[in-house]
Amino acid sequence: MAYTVFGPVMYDKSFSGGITTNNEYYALKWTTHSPSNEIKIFQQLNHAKNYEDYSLAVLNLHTPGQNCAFASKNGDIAIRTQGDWPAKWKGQGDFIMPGTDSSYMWQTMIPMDETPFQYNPERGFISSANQKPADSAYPYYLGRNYPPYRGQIVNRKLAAMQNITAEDMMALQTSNYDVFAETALPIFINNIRKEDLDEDGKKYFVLLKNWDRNNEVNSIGATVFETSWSYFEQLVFDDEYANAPKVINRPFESSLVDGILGDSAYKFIDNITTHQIETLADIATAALKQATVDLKAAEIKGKLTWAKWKGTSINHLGKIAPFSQTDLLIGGGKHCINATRKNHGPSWRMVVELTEKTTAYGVYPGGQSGNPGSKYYDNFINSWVEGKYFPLWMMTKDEVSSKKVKWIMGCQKGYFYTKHFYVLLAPTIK
Amino acid sequence: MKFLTALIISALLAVAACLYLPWWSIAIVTFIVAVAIPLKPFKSFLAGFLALFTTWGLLAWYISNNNEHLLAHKVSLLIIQTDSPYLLILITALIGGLVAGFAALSGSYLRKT
Repeated sequence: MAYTVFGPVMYDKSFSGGITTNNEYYALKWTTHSPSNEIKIFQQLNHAKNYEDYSLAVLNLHTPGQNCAFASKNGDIAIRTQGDWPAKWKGQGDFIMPGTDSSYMWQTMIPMDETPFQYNPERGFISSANQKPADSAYPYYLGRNYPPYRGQIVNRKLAAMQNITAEDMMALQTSNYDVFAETALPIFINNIRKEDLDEDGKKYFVLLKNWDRNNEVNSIGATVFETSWSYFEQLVFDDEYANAPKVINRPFESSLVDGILGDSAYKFIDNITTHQIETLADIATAALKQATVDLKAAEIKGKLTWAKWKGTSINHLGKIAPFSQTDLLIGGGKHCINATRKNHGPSWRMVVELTEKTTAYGVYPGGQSGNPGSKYYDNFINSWVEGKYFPLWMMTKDEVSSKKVKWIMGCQKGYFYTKHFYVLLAPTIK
Repeated sequence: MKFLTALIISALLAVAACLYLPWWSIAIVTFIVAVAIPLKPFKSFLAGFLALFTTWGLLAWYISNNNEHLLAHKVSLLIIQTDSPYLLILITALIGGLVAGFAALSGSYLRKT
């Protein structure tokens, strides 16, 4: 293993990740290569009683950096984008950088008191959904890949909610409304030339036009939109990218949408391989035409409705099909709060109400047993699909001796122990 | 009478052996039974086969039934690509029967020599 001033050489001529042929050597610098004691943050948070304790505790989180949300029974709320963030100049780290030029090296970390945070903001709530943690006024560069849509819908809904109950939060978490579709749909509705479509195309266009932007289980509009948008992106960029390497980033969906909504003669719309200049109407219509082929095939197979099309599946780690549950009838999508995709989705839903006696609800798509022969192997999946939650047991001190406790595991200096035997497992927690 | 004795003793010894030894100890015990109890070769085979076919078949069914065939549904899909716990149990019984049968047959032939 070769090491450089940056870090280990991750890719060399003998290993290119199997994606492209490789004649270069690539070293990686990563904050996790530096030692730090992250368990301390959990140990200190477990004993934290207020905002001040929380603020001190999170300082122990160096890497991987994460948004740390906080709420307290006295009404305080806060969020911190906590971690060791290298203080970057605009664009630093977006692409592979030359190891021979020291101006590309990390200079320093963002000081702890300058990491983005909110404490009791005016709007009365904090939220995070992969959107950018701070706006363009923030002096350090935070990277580019921040899809804004889920954050938009979360904030929009929270701003409109009053006297929120736990059930309201559960409804929020399982919302299938697609803000990206809301943004991009006008591109199709206002520009597709209906007269150029065949009978099937016309039928799908009507479904698209009347779609309420909800990715519900039986929605067909959602499927039409998703397929059309996918072909739309290809039609816009395939010609420009024809000579690019096989594996390369294409512009974000948000960039394309913003580009077109800002200028309907967006320069990438034109197909550079043809003589004439294509218009937005040409490309949008062509996208739906291409999508119609896929949609018709799906309709014949009975897979046109959104949940069947999306095919959300909870797969066994070893990809063993009989131990997995596939094609779940759940709505949502990558831009919805109910962020389900084919192989990706909300793996833990939780609502905590900080009443006098804390009440909490949770659900995850799985089960408490790892044994495929157990009926508790995947019995939560249906509840998760239906948006149901289970009450979580917020154990109080006097409930420790309750009959409900099945097994005790504890910590003593130097050991983790279980009821009757000692097992040396991990170094002491300081 | 000898046939029934051989069958029952094979079954009992197979169950006992499998408590401590790997599954293929059924071959050893049925072999020994066939050497000890003289029978015509085909009868020996049948004694061993039926002993383990019923033993393993019943045991597998009993265990799977207590599990409401939950695991058997999944494993049958995995191994024989059909959702049939009973087919899986039948195959289990067949494997046990064949191994024991041929072991008993070998024992019987050894007697003959």
